[in-house]
Amino acid sequence: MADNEEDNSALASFFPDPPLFWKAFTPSNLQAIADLKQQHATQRGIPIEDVVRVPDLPVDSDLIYLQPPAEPKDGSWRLYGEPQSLEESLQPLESAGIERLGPPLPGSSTTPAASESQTITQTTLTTSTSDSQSTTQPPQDTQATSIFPSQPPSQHPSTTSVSSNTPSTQTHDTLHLHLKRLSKSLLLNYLELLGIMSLDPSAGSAKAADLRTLFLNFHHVLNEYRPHQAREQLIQLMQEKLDQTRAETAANRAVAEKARRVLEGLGSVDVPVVKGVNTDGGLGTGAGAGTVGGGKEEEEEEEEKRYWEREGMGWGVLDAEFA
Amino acid sequence: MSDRLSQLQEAVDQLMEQFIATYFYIERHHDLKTFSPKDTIAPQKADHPNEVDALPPDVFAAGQLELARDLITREQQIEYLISSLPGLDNSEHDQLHSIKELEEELAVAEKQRQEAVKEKDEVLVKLDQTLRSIRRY
Repeated sequence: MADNEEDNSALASFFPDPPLFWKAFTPSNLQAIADLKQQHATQRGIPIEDVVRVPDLPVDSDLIYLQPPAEPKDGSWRLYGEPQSLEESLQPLESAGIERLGPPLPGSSTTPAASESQTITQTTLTTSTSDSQSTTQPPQDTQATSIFPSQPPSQHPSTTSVSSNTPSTQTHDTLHLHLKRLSKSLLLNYLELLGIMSLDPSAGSAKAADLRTLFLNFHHVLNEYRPHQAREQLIQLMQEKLDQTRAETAANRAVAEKARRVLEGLGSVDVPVVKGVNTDGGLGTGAGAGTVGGGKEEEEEEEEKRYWEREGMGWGVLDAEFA
Repeated sequence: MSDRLSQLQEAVDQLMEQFIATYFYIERHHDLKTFSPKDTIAPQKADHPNEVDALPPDVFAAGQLELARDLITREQQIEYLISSLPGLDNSEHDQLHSIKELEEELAVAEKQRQEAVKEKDEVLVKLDQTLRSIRRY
């Protein structure tokens, strides 16, 4: 009966009830988990802040609710029905069913056999498609249906972007060239597309597919380059920080040096001032305060005047030094 | 302001949009021709009143020219961005190496900085004392 009522209220309430495990967060439980964490930290010899979760808690205790669940063992899980993975990696173009134009980037996650990509670069596009099974868009069709009259096969833009690749070295110096070829191919393909469309609109889809391949390749190359760019940026940031730190050091030293010079300057200038102070002011304060009663106010005024004079001189010296 | 790589990707996307926009401009504003004297240009369909909105030849040519210029400008922008991509001459190994070096240099510089700050503070205290002593006379 009681259960039914609870169910009803859970269904009827506007906002969903808090998760059931909220009851586990009692002060005693919190204390217990903190103790366990401390124990774990001392056992492993690591700082307590680094302990995210204590393994091997008894399953039936409430304490398991007080820490995040363990990482999935196989490195993947589902979130809102979408499979997620611990390892974020760039999907290779080939597996997405897109023809790769040009060599893979060194050190990238996509690793088609290097020898195969070499053969692709040596041969024409038509043979390369027969080599790699994964291509979706057959360029033979493009050439067959292409009625753009002034287009000899050697000018096929895809071919131009493929045929002249140098073997990828460890550095990325070929990337410039490759990207420029891709972008030029884009323009050329677009021109061809317009030409085709003006003569036979039904044949344009193949050319549009070419354009699509080129765009996807461009983006893919850029994405492959991202880790490199991230490292490069890190280097830049560190260099900036280094320069900044050095500049700060230099500025601090300069200020210290200046202040020291001021001190030295004061030492040399001080002498006459100190003399005057010793004869007039020093005695005046000692005698005036103790003995003379009637002329006290006058003397104080005079004292005040002298004090401001000295102050002015002191600041004058400082100003001269800092100027 | 994003990094150059993202700028490049955006530029490429914009190029694609320009492709599409240019294409539609030409498709919509081209003029209609007759192939033989017997042909007549059919009147526009009522349900597609503006399927082809033919512009005067000079306006159309000017539009084409402008769009083509824009395309070339974008292409040049892309190529400029490509050639300004940083660190293409460095391999991953070089990068890691220089990162390590920078790390060490940073540590040294940080130490020096702290020393300098300390030195400055000491001098400042001295200066302060001197000023106070001037005042006290």
